Amino acid sequence: MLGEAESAKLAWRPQTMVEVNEGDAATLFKLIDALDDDDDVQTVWGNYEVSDEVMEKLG
Amino acid sequence: MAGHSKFKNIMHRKGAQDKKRSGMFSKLSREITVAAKMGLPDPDMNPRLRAAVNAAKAQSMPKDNIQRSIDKASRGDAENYEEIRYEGFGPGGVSLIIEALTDNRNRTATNVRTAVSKNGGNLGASGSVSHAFDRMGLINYPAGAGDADKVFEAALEAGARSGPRTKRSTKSPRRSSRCSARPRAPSSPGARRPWSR
Repeated sequence: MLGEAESAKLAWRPQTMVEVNEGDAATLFKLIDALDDDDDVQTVWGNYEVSDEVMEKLG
Repeated sequence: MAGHSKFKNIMHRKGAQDKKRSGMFSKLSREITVAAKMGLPDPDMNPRLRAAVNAAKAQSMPKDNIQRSIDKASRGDAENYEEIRYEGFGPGGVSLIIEALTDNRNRTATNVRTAVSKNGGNLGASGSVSHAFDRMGLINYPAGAGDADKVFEAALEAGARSGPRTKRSTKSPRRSSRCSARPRAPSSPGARRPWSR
């Protein structure tokens, strides 16, 4: 029906999301980047929600 | 400004991108090796390996690299990776689940702890975060596969628990559907888990 899937995996889906403000979002992305730079870390899941405006401000 | 030529900027950016890319490949390759080691080294016979190989192909990882990662599993000298899950909190009370594949628990634990605590977060006990998450299957399709209605219908028909969501911010938007994962016993961090990332 949809053709071939791009990927299929087991995920962690948050039951509730947390909206983060600009300051926290900047630190949070730094945190995630720091984890991502570690070759041992495969995936980081989180329940954060960042609004479009904040996303735009952070570039 | 001195030292701020355009070329230098490009060089910097390219360097960062190359680093990102090689980091991504080493993660993908590790997952392939682990998957190949846990079952048959043939993607057609090993669903986890198939998923790992597809993920690598989606990031245009070269075929040779993929094959090498598969072959690595059958050689005796390959590192023994174990799967570890860390749970913690980020700035603003955000919950995080961090999945790792490591051949050295102590190194990874230290690095993860440092990365989290240096950036306004802290690690919690196992189970402190994961109880507020559902373990589910996630199937991604390129946005071109169909419009929201079509994807929703397909998801519904296949028995998905929640419908499509479009992911923004990445280059190509994706639509994804979630299905419920098979039930599994609660596990402690560091227990070997048969599922992939």
